[in-house]
Amino acid sequence: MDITINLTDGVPIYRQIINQVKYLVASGLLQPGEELPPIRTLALQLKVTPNTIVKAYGDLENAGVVHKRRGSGTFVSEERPQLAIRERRRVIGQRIDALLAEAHQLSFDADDILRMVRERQAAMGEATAEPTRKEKK
Amino acid sequence: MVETVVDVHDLSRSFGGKTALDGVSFRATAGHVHGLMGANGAGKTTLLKHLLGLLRATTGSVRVFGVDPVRDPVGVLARTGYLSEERELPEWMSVDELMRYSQAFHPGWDASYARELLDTFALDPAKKIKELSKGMRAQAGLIAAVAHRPELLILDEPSSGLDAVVRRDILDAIVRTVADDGRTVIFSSHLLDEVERMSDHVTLIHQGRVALSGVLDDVRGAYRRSRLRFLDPFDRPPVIDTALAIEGSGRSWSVIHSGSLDQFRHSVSARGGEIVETRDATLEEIFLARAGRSRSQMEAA
Amino acid sequence: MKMRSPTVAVLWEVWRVTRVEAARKLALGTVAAMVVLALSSSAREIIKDSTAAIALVLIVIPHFAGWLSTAKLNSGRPGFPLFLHYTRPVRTTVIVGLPMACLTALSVVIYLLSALLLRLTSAYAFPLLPVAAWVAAFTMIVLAALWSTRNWIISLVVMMFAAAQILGMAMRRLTAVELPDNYDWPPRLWPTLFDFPSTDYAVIALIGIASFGVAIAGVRRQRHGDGWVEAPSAQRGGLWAWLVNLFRIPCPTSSATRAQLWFDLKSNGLPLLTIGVALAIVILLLSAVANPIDITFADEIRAHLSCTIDDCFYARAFPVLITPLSLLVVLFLGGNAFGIRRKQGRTYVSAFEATQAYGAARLTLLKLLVKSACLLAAIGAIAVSVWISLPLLGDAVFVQMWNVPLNSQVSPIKSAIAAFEGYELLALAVVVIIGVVVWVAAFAVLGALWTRWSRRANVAVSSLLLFGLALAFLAVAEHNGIMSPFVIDAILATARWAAAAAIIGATAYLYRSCLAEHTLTARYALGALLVSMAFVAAWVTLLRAVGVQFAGVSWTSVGSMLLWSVFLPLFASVLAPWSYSRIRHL
Repeated sequence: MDITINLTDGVPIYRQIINQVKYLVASGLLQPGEELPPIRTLALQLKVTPNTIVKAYGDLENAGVVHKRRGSGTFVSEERPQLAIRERRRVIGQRIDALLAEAHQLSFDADDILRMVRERQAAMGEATAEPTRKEKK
Repeated sequence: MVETVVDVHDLSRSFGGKTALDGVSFRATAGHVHGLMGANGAGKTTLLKHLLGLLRATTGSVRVFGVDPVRDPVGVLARTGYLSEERELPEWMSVDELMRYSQAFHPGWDASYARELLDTFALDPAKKIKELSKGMRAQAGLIAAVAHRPELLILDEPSSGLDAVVRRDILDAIVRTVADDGRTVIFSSHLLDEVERMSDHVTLIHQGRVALSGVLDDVRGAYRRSRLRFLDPFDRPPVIDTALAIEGSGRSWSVIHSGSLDQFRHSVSARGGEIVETRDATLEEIFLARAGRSRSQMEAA
Repeated sequence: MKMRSPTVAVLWEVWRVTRVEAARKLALGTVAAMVVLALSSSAREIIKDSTAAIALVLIVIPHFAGWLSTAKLNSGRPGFPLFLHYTRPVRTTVIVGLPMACLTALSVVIYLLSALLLRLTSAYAFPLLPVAAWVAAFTMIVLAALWSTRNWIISLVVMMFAAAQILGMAMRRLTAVELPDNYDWPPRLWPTLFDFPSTDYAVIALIGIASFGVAIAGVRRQRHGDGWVEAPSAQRGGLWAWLVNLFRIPCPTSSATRAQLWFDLKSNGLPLLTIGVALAIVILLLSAVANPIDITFADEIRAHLSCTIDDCFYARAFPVLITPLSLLVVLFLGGNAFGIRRKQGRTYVSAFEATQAYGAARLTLLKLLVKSACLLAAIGAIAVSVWISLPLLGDAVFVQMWNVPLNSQVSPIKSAIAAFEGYELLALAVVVIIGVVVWVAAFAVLGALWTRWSRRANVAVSSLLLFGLALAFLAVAEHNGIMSPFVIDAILATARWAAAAAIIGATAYLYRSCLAEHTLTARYALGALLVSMAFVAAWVTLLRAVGVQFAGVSWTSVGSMLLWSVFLPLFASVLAPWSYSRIRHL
């Protein structure tokens, strides 16, 4: 499992793991039913204390992203996780707050931001559409 | 029920007039990694030496596994593994003799684990300790300390003076010790990224006193770092409530603060500034704020 | 303080490093000599002369030990101790020549001061310049040998050779004039005996120049990375480390006690034993070849030395000189049973040893027993070697040197011991064994107490020295009739009783405190008591066997002797674990 830990931007390690696992699940790099590395192995790989991994896996289980099977390990949940609406809004809301603050510093207003979001979404849409077009052929 | 492995209560110690520890209280619970941070000479080694009975507690009490390590050295030391800061090992022994000698004192010695570690570190068993480099000595001492699967592993500055490869080996050993049920690790380090990665609980010792202590995430959550921008430039650092350390110049300042967020925001806007960005402080920033020199500037405030 | 040039800086450094040792050398030698002289001031002429000779030896001996404070900078290994200067902008000549000159000058000044003091306080003409010149020569040779090379073998050989040469030359000069009924160099002959010819001074000057040259050349090579005859890296650490390396026995893993036994034997006991056995073999070999050498070169010897008796000897003197030296070396090495290390000025017990899961009392007992066993074996080896060599050497040597026909006395001693009963021999063995253990324990405890409370230990030793000095002066006063003899007797008696009470009280107190803090168990205390009882019984048996009568002796004397014999081992048995515990848990 490809996870990296960054110590400079102040995000707690367990939170970084949670975020990255969620991203891996959401982007399909971790398939439903796939097993996550055991706590000991991941701790050795990342050079962090196992209790951090325990905490991260515990939070992921509470959020429904993974589930623990007794004696077998931790597996990605079969259905797409139903993260609570509130939780999802909270995550995105944080990003938007940071974006708006940064924009204010750089003297953009909300309308400029909205326009740029639409532009970039269009560009990304074309890029993701290309490979699918190629696949269809 | 979480078991207390180490219980230090109100420990004080001076060496010839200079206070090394002043009323230090410290608890280590089983199954966790406890990191001790502090500047050089803050008192970390002194505290660890008390746990092993190398220093006798003159005031206050020290209990390891519920027992005083001076009163019952065999009971404590048989269940403890220790790697000292100076890596003191008998110079004349070879690595193999060191293993055999340590094995005789600990019935729980795992010979296959020791052999595996020797192979991983590529240590020549026939080499004498005095012929080993600093890193290899640390590795040899580490094997002697962990191969008997101690319930408590005490490491004093395990990474000092070592290259990245050996440091990884040491971190591995810590992880493995804790991952096996119920074992405890206490280590002191002035490398804060290590402490941040490896610790469940952190304690910061500053000038012989405990400056902060608690679960790492709680400690991290209590301190925030904010970037501020003021309308008018300041020549000297602006005084802000709940701020512990501040640096910057002119209109832009970066502050480490803990405590009430409202009070902080109020104070910032009262000085004519706004918070540009705020996030949890890293351990290094907390350390520098609590134990660094800029503290003296805030003391006056 | 501002140091204006490298010269001043180096001189200041040498002074700071050596000033304590210089003061100590001056004080110990002079005070010991003065005490000895004072104690004998009321005796007959002959005894006064002998004590004057002893005093002269006492003020010369400190200079044979060399300078320990500079050796400490290098942890006692050969090689230049002020190596931190290699990276400073000074020439090698300055950093070597200046300290060497300084240390030589210091030795000379110390000797001259002591000799002058003795001259003033006693009526004897202690030699000044001649002996000072030879002291200077010896110091220079030793410094050159130690500093110019890192190979301890070369240093050791050169130093032993120089010591043997100087000792031999001294013996020859001093015994040049034969006196029938006395030792050969009484004080009235000193002005003539110590009036060295000018060739001597020329030789000393040559020695000085040569030593300087060799030292500077050797250090220059060390400075630039290639020492002469570089010792292979495995031998870094000196003679002791090489000896530890000799015995390759695998460490037992079955029990902690056996592993600890292996540890103490390898690091502490076996090197001592090896040195003892090596010295014994040397003595034996020398004795075996001495006679043939003397016979072959009889004519040459007769030409160079003036022998007034028929049997001239040269080579036979060496084993006779080496034996007491060997015994001294072995006894000295029997110290530090606790393995206290010294590094960069700190003395400490290594954390590795202090954190082994083993109790203090058992650890102490094991270390002491191992060291005592090896010491006994070493002394035994030397004794056996002497026993075998005596017939080889013949009587003449001993008559000439010590006025005692040692060889002829061997058979009376043999028959006396053969006359011992079985239980008396057992008693002898018990006394010897326990005596050696107490001796080793005493040194170990002194080392431990010095490590822990060095300042208080210094104060205690200085007070004892002052007490001895005061006693000596009182003795002089008594001899000159100023004071009545009762004062000294009273003081000595009070001191004896005070010491006895102190030992009894200290033993009781220490046992109680050790039992309370679980350093010892009750079983250990009981065992110690039994051993003390055995010691008393053996001691009494031995005295009876030797023929000492108890019938006419007063009760107080018998009682005090019994008391001392019981409490000395008991005191040692509790002091050892207690002091070890103090340095294990600071």
